[in-house]
Amino acid sequence: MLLLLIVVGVALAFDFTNGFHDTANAVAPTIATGALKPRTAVAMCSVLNLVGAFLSIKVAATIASALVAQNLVTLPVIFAGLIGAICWNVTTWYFAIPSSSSHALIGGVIGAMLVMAGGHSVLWSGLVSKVIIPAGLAPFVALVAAAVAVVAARRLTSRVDASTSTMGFRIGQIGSSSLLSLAHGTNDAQKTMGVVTLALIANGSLSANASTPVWVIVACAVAIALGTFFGGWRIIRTMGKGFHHLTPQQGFAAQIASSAVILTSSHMGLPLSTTHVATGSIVGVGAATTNHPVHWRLVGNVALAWVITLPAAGLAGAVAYFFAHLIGGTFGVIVLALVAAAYLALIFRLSRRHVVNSINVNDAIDGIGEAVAPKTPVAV
Amino acid sequence: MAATSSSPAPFIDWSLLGHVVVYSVVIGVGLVVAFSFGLAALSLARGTGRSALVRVTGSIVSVVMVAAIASALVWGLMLIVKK
Repeated sequence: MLLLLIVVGVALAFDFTNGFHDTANAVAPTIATGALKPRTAVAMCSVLNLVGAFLSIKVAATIASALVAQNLVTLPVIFAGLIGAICWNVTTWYFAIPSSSSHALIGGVIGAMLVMAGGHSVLWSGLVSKVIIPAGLAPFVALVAAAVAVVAARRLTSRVDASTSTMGFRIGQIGSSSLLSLAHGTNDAQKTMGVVTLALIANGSLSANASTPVWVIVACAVAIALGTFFGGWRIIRTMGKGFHHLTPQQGFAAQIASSAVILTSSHMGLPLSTTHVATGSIVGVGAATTNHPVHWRLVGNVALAWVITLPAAGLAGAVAYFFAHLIGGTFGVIVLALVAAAYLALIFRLSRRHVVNSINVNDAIDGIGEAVAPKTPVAV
Repeated sequence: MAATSSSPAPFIDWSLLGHVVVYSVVIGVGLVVAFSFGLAALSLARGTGRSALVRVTGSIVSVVMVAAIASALVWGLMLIVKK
């Protein structure tokens, strides 16, 4: 029972980091264009993430049943996978890289499963068809949708006076940002719901292929909303200011395109990375317009981080499982939890050297390296 | 998802992926086009020196576009909730 409680607690901690890490996906363009004040945008996003988490559990079912052999999953495996995902999420947050929380989670669990039971424990067809192919496809679909949308918007509003256009698209951005926040809650909260459901099945508290209990839905919704409320300002800054200068028209088109991709994939039960989609859309609207060039070097760095997220989180999950198993039992899990907590404390302490928050989130940046050193110093 | 199916599921469900791609692009572009069209109509309605007919038409078109977008969003969300 203690082990189950620890695993559920760590899962909710992961959900918190997921919200924290992915706030940028929904609000970065809204904040960058000044459509909403940073704190207001983040608070709104948090509430809508909470609501979105209750809308559907189809992705949760995919996570729980389509990626690993349920009958082989044990609580230490899930724990190790979550530890790997949390460590990767927090590390990428420190470096202000918008990487995928979903892939970190899936990678972590698969890495631990491979060490525990070998290759046959992973449902490779599910991994390829539900994760890897959509991961490769999603940013390009979002990029194309956003690029076509922004070109159409520009042509249709070419005779609209600048003030009406700016005001109209800023109001539109509030709506599109709300929709995207809802979409994020619908898609991402479910991933942790899937993992907690797996843990309950592994513990024998639920039968195989059981549906997600209501208390799991509520707990995951609250955890992701809380994480979102604290706002991952570093990543918001990268997405809002790093790729190119966003106008309200571009921000609106990017957010609507992202929402369409995420909600459609949620509807079809595909656990898409909202980060990949949101980044693809932002890059798409920049590539389709010539007034402000896209910083392709940063795009390349972020794409590289996407490629290594699955194996890196997998490696972290595998190492975590190896040591937890080596020490043995619940005690091994507790020791690993303490080691992970120490690592998180170290990263948090390092992050205080260059604070990014609601005050300096709109400072211009050139790339990932500079993303941790804003030009407006903030008192710690 | 595939394990309980009576017929073996394809390794990669291209049909599902194709649906996601087509629906995403159509819905994403469609909503932005509708909003932009409404904004252009609103601009016509608010412009100085326009005839009354243009102003009324512009206002009606902009309201219709907003209503169409809202209806599309509500319909989409209802589809997701039903699942």
